[in-house]
Amino acid sequence: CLPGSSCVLKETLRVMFVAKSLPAEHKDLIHDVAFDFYGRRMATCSSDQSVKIWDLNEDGEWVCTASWKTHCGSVWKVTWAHPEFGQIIATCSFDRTAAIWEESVSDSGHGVHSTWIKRAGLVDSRTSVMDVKFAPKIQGLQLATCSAGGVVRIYEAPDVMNLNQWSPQYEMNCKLQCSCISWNPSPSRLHSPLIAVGSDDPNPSSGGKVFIYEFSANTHKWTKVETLVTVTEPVHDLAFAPNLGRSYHLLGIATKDVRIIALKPVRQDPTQNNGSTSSLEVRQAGQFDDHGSTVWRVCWNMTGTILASSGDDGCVRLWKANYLDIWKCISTLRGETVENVSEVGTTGGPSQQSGTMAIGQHTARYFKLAPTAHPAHVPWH
Amino acid sequence: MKRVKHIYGECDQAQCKLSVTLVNPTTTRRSSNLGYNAHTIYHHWRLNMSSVRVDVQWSPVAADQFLTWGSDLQLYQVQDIVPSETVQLPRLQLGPKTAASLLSTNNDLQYIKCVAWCPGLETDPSNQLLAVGQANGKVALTTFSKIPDPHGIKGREFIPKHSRPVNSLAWSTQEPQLLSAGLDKIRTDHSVIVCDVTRTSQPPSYAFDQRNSSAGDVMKPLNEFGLAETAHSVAFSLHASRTLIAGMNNKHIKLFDLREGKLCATANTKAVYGICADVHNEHRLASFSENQVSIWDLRSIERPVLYLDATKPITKLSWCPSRVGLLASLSRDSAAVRIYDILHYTHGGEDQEPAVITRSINTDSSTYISAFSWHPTHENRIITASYTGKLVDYNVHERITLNWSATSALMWTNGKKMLQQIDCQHPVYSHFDDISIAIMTRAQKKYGLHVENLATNGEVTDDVSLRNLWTWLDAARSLVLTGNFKLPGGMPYRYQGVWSLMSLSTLSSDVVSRPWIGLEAQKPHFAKVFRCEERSRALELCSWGFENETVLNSFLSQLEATGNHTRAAAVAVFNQRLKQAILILQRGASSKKLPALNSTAMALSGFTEERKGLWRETCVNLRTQLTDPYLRAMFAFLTDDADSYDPVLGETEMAIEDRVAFACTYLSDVRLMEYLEKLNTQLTEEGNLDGILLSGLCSEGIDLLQRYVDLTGDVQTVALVTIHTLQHAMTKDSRLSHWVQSYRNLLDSLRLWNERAQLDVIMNDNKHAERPPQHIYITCNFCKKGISAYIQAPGRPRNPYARFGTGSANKSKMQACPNCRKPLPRCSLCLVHMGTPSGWGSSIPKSSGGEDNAEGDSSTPTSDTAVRRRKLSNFTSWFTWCQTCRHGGHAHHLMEWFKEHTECPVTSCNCKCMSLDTVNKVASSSVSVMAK
Repeated sequence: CLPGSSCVLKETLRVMFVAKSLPAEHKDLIHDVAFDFYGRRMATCSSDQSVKIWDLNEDGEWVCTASWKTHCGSVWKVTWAHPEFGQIIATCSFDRTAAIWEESVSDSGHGVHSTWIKRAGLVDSRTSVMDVKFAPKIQGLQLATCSAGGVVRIYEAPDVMNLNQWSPQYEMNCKLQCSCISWNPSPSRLHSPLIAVGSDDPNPSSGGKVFIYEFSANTHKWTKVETLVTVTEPVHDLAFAPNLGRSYHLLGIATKDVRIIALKPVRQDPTQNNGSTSSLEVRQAGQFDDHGSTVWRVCWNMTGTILASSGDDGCVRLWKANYLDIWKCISTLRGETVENVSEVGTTGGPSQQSGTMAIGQHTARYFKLAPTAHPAHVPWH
Repeated sequence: MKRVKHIYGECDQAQCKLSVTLVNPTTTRRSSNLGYNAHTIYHHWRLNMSSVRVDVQWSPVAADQFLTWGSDLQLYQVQDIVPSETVQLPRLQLGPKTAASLLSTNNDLQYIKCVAWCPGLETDPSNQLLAVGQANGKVALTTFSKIPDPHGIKGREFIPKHSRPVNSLAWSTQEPQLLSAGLDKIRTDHSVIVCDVTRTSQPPSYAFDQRNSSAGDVMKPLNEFGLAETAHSVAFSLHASRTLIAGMNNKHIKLFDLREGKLCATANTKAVYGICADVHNEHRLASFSENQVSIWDLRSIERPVLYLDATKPITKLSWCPSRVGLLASLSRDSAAVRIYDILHYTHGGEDQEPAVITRSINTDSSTYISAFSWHPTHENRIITASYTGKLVDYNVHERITLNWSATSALMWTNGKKMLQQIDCQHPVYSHFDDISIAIMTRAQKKYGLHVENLATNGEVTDDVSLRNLWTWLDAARSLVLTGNFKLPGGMPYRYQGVWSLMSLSTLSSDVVSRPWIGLEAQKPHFAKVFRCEERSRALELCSWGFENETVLNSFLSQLEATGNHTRAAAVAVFNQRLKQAILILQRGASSKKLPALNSTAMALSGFTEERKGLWRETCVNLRTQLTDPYLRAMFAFLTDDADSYDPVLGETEMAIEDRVAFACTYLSDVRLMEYLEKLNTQLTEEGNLDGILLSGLCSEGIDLLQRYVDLTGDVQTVALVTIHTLQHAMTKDSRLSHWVQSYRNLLDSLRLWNERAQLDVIMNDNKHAERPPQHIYITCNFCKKGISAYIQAPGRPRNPYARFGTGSANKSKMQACPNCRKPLPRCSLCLVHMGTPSGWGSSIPKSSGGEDNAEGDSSTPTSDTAVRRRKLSNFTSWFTWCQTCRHGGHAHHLMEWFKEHTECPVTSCNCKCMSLDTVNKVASSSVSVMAK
C-alpha cells in the first residue's frame, strides 16, 4: 500500500528498553513499595518482617537510609503520611497489628542518621491486618486498616503533635475477608470522603467483592453506598486514581483481570441538604485479561491517566485511555526489559493525512508535523 | 529375567533399528547423522502418540539436565537460545529462552512405575545413579553412563519375594547410599524396605534370587517394615537422621526409626500419598489425600498444621527446593499447576487464618499436564510435561508489587530481591505521551504565569488548540478590561462566547446585498449576507470584525505573513474579494514554492455566476480532490447553488473561528442558531477546547472545560484558565476551586513551590480582596510589644522610613526595639544586634537602596533590576531562628554555618536545628540537584 495510507499508520511499534535495577537486599519477598508525597523517599516492606527506607541522593540514585524489624510476621503494606504531619509511615502485618513509625534524625558526628521510632501499635484486630492507608490530608491525620477478618477500622490522631495517641473512630464489618483498601484522594470538599475495600474471598457465590463506603458529614458515619456486583472473583488490590479535577472517580481493581471502574457522584442540589448520602453512578470503563492470569497489584500515576498492573504472567502492563476514553495497553514491562507497544496513528482518520504526506512517519500520532493553518481540531496532545 | 543393560549405541525398538550414538550436544545443530535424526523423529512420534503418562524430573546435580520417562528413560540437555532462534526438530523448544536436546536413552527397563534420582553419590553428572521402580516390584539401579561406575553400583537391583508394583522410591539426602521403596500390599511380605546400595548381599540369601541367578548384584534390605501393609509413599525425614516416613494403608502416616528398626510414631490420616519433606523447613512435611493437601509438622505429627484444598483429585505434590514455602500440586485433568505460597500459619492456629496465596500456573493451556518438576537450584524454575509429550520450561514469577511516585517514576519488584524502575527520563516514557510529563514541563516553563499577555502561555505549549485557547482568552480579556465591547442591550462583556451571546435574545437580522469587489462582469454581482448587532459582535469575537477595508487587509496580510495563504484567500473570497484572493494565491505559490496554488488561482479567476456553466460543473467534480480544506471550502462557497453552504460548514478542518464567522455571515437566523447549537453540543461532548469560542466562559463553558479534564486529565490548563479569567465564578461553582486546589496540590507534590507561590500571587492579585493576615509577629524581649507592628502597618500612605533618612544612623535605630529602645538580640554568629527593615521602600532614593545592597550581600549583582533595589533589605540580612532552641541570627550567617554543622552555633546548645526539619533536608538536596 502507499506510504501514508492507513495500513502503515496502524503498524505497531515495538521498542525494547532496559529498566534500571536496584538490589533491594530484603531477605524475603517484598510485599509493598510506597513513595512519599514528593516521590523522593521510598519504603519497602517484606516477609522478612522488616521495612527499609530509601532516599534519592544527589545523583538520583536510591540509597537505603534505614532498615529495621517492624513486626513479628510478614509486613504486608507500608504507606506514607502527608509530609505536613512529619515523616511518618504506617505498616501492617500478619502479626495482627498495624504500627505508626516516625523518623527521628540524629547526628552521630559522621553525618546524619535517621532512626524510626514506633509511636503507636494498633492492636484491635483479631486477625492479620492486610492493608493500611492514610487518609487524604484534608481529612486530618486519619488511618484506615482492613483485616483478614473482614473489619475495616478507621483511626484518628486527634492531636497531630502527639502520634502516640490513635483513637479508633469507626469500625465497619464487611462480612468477607478484606485484602485491600483505598481512600478517594480527592482534595476537594466537593467530594465526600470515600473508601473502597476489596475482598479476596475465593468463593464467587458470596457476591460482589468491592465495597464503597462513604462518609456523611451530617451523620458522622461511614455507610456502605455501593457494592460492585460485577466483581465476584477475589480482589487482590484496588486503587483510586488521583482525582485531578475530574467529574468522576476512577477505581482500578486487580482481580482475575484488570478492571477500571468510573464512579460518578450524582450531583445534588446544594439547597436540598437533607443529609442523605449521595449516590454514585457506576460505569465500567475497562476490563482486560491480557495478563491471562491473576492480577496482583494496580497503581495509578500522579495524574490518574496511566494505570499500572502486575500479574502472574510476570509482567507489568500499563493502561491508558485515548481521547475517546477507550482504555488500551500501551506498554508491557517484563523483568528487566520494557517492551513498549504503541499503535500508531489510529486516532487520525484518512482526512487527517491530507495536509502533508510526511505524516506517514511514526511521528504522525503527535500531530506535530501537521500544518499550522488548520489543525485546530486535535483534542489530544 | 533380563539382565539390565545400558544401551547407548542402539535403539532396540522395532521401529528404529538405526545406529544411534551418544548424542553430543555440540554436533546436533548441524547433524547429518541420518540415524540420529531418524531416532529423534521416532522419539517425537512416540512422545506425541503415546498415551503413556510422561513424567519429568530435573537432575539433582547437573543444572542443565533433566529426565523424562514414560516407557523408557530419556536424558535431555538444556541449552539457552535467543528468543528469535527457531528450534529445529532434533531439539525441543522448552520455552522462549531454552531448548533441549536428547542426550541418551535408556530403554531396557520396562513398566516403570517410579524413578528416583540419587542426589549425591556421584559427582559426575553423566554417572548419576537412578533408582527405577517397576510394576513387578523390582527396583533397579541404573545410570546413563557407558563407563562402568567405580563403585560397581550400577546394575544392582532389589527383587521382592512376591511381584507387586513399586509405589514410591526415595533416596536419603543425609546418607545418599540409602534407598527406600514402598510397595503394594502382600500378605506375607513387608511393604517398606530400606537398602544400602553400596552393600550387596554375597551370596544372595533370598530364595527368589535363585530364580534368576544371572541377574546382577542383589541388594539386601537393611530394614523392612509394614508386614502385610500397603505403602503408598515413602520419604526420608530431614529432621531426624535415619527416620523414614511412610504413608500406609490409606489411613496412617508412620515414622520408622531405621537405627532401631521400629515404628516410632503414627498419625491417623487419609493423606498418605505423595509425602514430601520441605528442604527449607526440616520439620515440615506435605502429603495429600483425594483433593486435600495436608501440611504436617514432624514435632507434632498427630494433626496436620494446615489443610489446603484443591478442586480436583491431586496426582503430584512437591516443595520448591529453591524458595521457602512454595508448594506445587498437580490435579488430575488439569491444565495448570497449582502453587501454594505458604507465608504463615500459626501452630494449632485456632484463632487465626493462615496466610496462603494460591496461584495457578498455566504453562500451556492447550493440554492437560501430566507431571512437573522443580529445578533443584534455579529459583522458581519448573518444568512440566503434558500428555501430548510437550515439555515446558517455566519460571514461576514472584508476585510483583509496584508503585508510582509523584515524579512519575514507576518502581516494581523483579523476583525476590530486585527493584526495577523507569522514571520520566527513561526513553520509554516519551512513548507514553502522558499528560503528567506535559504538566511538569509546562509548569517549569512558567505556563500560566504570564499575566501581561495571556497568549504567551499558549506558546509555552506545543499544542495548537491550547495556543488558540490562550490567544482567544487574551483577546477576550482585553475586551473585558477595556469595557468598550458592549453586548446588545448594553450589558458589559463577561467572557461570553458566540453561542451564549446569540442565545441572549432572539435574532432579527437584516438581509444585505454585498457587492463583489474586483469581479469584472457586465453587471455587478451581489452576495446575500445577514447583518444584526449580535452578528457583528460575534464576528468580532471570531476576529472577523472587518468594519472597514483596512482591518480586513491587515488581517489578510497577517495571515499571509504566517504562511496561511489558502486561509487568507478563502477569507478574502468569503468577503467578496475575488481579485485579492487570486493575488494572495499567486503570492503564496511563489513564496511557499507551491505551484499548485497558481493553478488554483487560475481556476478561481474563471468564476462565473452561471448556474449551469462548465466551470461550475468542473469545480464541483474536482473540488473533493483538493487537499487543502480552505481551498475546498472556497470552491464550495463559489459553486453553492441554494445558499445552503453545508459543504463549507462541513469543512471541519477549517479553524473554528472561520466556520463560525462564515455561519454568522451567510446563514439565516434559524439556520444559524441550529448550526451553532449543534456545533456547541458536539464540541462540548468531545471536550474540544475550540468550543470555548462558542460557549465562552459561562456555565456552559465550564461544562466544556470539565469534559476536557475528564478526557485528558489536563487539570493544569483549566486551573490556569480559572485563575486568569474565572475567579469571579469560583465561589459559585465548586468545580473551579476543585481544579485550582488540585493543581496547586500537584505543584506542591512536584516540589515546584516557587511556581505555586507565583500562582498564589496571581490569584490574590486578581482577587482584589483583603490581604492575607500576617502569620508571624516578632515581639521585643523586654516590653513584649511587636517590633514590626508599625513597620508592617498596611495601607500606610507614606513611606514609614522617610523620617529615618538614609545612612548608618538609620541602621542603628532599626536594631533596637521601637517601643522601649532596648537593643534587639544579637546574631549568634556575628554578634551584631539584629534588626532588619523589611517591606518595600517605594520612595527610597537609589543611593540608600544601593547601600543596603552593598551591606547585605556582596554577591548580589549591582546591576540589579529596579524592583530588587527597592527592597529595604536583602533576604540574607533578615534574621531567622530555630523554632526549637530559639537561637538564631542573620539568614546568610546561619546558612553558612549549617552548611558544615548540624548543631546550633550557640555555645553549649546541643540543638540539632538543621536536622530537625526533614523537609528542609529534601529541599537542600534538591537545590544541589538543580545546581548541576
